[in-house]
Amino acid sequence: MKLKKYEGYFYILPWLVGLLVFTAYPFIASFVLSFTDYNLQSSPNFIALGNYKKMFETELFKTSIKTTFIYVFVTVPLKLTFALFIAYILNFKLKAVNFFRTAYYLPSILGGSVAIAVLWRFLFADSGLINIIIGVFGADPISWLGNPKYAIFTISLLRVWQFGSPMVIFLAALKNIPESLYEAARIDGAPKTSIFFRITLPLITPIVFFNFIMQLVQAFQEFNGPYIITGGGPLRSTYLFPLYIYDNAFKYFRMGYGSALAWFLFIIIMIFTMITFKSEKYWVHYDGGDE
Amino acid sequence: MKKKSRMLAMVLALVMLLAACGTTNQPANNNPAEDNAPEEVTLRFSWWGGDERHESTLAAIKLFEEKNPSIKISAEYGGWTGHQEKVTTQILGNTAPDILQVNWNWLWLFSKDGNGFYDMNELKDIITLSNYDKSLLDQMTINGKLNGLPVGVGGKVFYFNETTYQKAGLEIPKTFDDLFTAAEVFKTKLGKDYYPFDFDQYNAFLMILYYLEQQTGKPFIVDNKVAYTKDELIDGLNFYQKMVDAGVTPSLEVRGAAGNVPVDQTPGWIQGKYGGTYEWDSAIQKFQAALEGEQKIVAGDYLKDFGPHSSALAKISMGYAINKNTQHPEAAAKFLEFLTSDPEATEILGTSRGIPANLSALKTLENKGMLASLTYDGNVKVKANLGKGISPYFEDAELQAFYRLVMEEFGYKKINATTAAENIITTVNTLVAELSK
Repeated sequence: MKLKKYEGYFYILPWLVGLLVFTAYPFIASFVLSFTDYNLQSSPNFIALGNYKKMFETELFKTSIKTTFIYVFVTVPLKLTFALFIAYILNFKLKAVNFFRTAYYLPSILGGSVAIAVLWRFLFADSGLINIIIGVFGADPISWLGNPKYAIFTISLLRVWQFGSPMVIFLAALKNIPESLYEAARIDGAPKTSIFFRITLPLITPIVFFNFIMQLVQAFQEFNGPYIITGGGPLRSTYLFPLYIYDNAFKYFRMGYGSALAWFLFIIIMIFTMITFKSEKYWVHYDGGDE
Repeated sequence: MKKKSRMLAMVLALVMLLAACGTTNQPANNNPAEDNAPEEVTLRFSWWGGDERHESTLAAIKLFEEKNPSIKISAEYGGWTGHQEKVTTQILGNTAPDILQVNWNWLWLFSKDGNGFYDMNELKDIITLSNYDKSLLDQMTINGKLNGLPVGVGGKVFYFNETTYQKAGLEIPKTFDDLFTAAEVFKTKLGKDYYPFDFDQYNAFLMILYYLEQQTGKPFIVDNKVAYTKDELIDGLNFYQKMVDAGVTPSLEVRGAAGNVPVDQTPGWIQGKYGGTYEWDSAIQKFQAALEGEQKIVAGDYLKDFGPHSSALAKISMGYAINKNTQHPEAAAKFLEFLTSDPEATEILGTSRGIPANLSALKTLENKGMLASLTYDGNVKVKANLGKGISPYFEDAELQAFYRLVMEEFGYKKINATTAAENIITTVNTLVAELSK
């Protein structure tokens, strides 16, 4: 009956093999490759930290990192604020609230799809819908995609617009706040803003925390938007780090360097996640008193 | 009972696993059919292109399958964007199709020693090599091994939107001076968003090379080094800037406002606001097809204001190669022979891959009067104005990214002509040295 002990593994075998082959193996292999000069065409040579050293000597690497930080720190706060704002409104007892909940969630279902990015490109092109609309108000068309100053925000806006999933999570959190707290506050005559900042916000901080980390990780990995809408241009102003990884690995076939870049991104994301976790005790409130 | 169903579940799990693994690799059939009924083989064939090429190729495949019921062709096709990345991954991962449409320079990329693709000399009983000009076959040969069949010779041609020029009341330009004159007329007669020509980052760079080769008679790269001096490059860059300032071509900033789209998908081109494009003769059909309404494209003359040397950029536009690991080289050769020289197939395919290099196909098209096309018009001009050719490394992905970037930096006035010229010399020399190692 020894077999019985391992029987469960048989059932999950298809999944297990998938994990090992498509996740674990590439994960380990890319780490090993990041210390080599592998270019797909000849066998890899070990070059120790050569790739990591090369990064910091490359101008494009620095530009790309800078652009990525701007992108992340514009996108994430905007998206969360927006998601919370809409969730807050949708939490009221409005007519047809279910319709609006669905409508606001829809963009997120479309996700990071290529079609949406193409649509975005059309919307913000020089003769696109956005410029036609602002033209109605007498404004000159704006070069959303051609001006390096605006392009990054146009890209960022695509992700901000897809605020649905954090919104749904916020909404669930808002619904969990006991009505009695609000009632007590109202009886004491607290104004609406204080109710929001002193009751609502503190009680949902665990969810803000969760959403923040999820969005942070996602934003650092943004690829589809800039790849399709601007191709990283103009003047590399939307050349996010994942594009730099992609170009090196799949266009120039520097698999070793590409792997090193991917691991560098991994480290950055990890550091930011850790900082967020460290900061948790200063602003996140857990109810239920187990602390 | 319980034990039985448990066994069943385990078996099912295993079957699922095997099924998941087994889809890509059909087990190779090692014993050829001993009776006369030919075994059925399936060949994968990949290409890139536009709709016209896709439709005609699929039709030709269908005809081939009707005539050769034992061979099935599984088509893998799409646009150019991302295609090279995909094929490279396939080749290096040993999952490449049996037959591939390849770019000429890929041979140097994947077959430095000539062993990267199947040597077609071994298939000369099936493929009629005498259908090809020897100089073309030589260009496809590395270390004595014929790595691919040349599909056609093509070049960059000045194509003009005749409709737009008619609207402006102008003749098709024959010189760069005509373009400058046209710029003024376009602005006043048609509107400020009309331009007599359109150069994107890459074409702007190629136009500078065209200008310089016409003046100096030197191609861009000689002996793996940039052949132009700094001053020559500065002169070329300034000439491009002059065209932008005069409104001959939209500035890169103006172009950039449409986002990252190929020239044939920019509204300016589709609506006929751009009076011309510098394009490969083999690709021009899709530019014509993209136009709104009844607009018409014509192949223009090579603009000659600058010097005695003809400088049309030409190369073997593409080829067909056979995967060196294919299980069925004979079937693949049979298919290629059909695709490149069979009269019916030739008629279906027309000039969707440019003017054929295959002489028998060329004859078929001539007899059928099918050569009257934009591609053919352009091709005739290319062949009459051949420049000194390009280095196999010229179109390397990283170099292309660099040409675009340096033109963008120059076009957005982030760097001046001197810096741009210096960057071109240093970067191109470094990268080509690395590539040719």
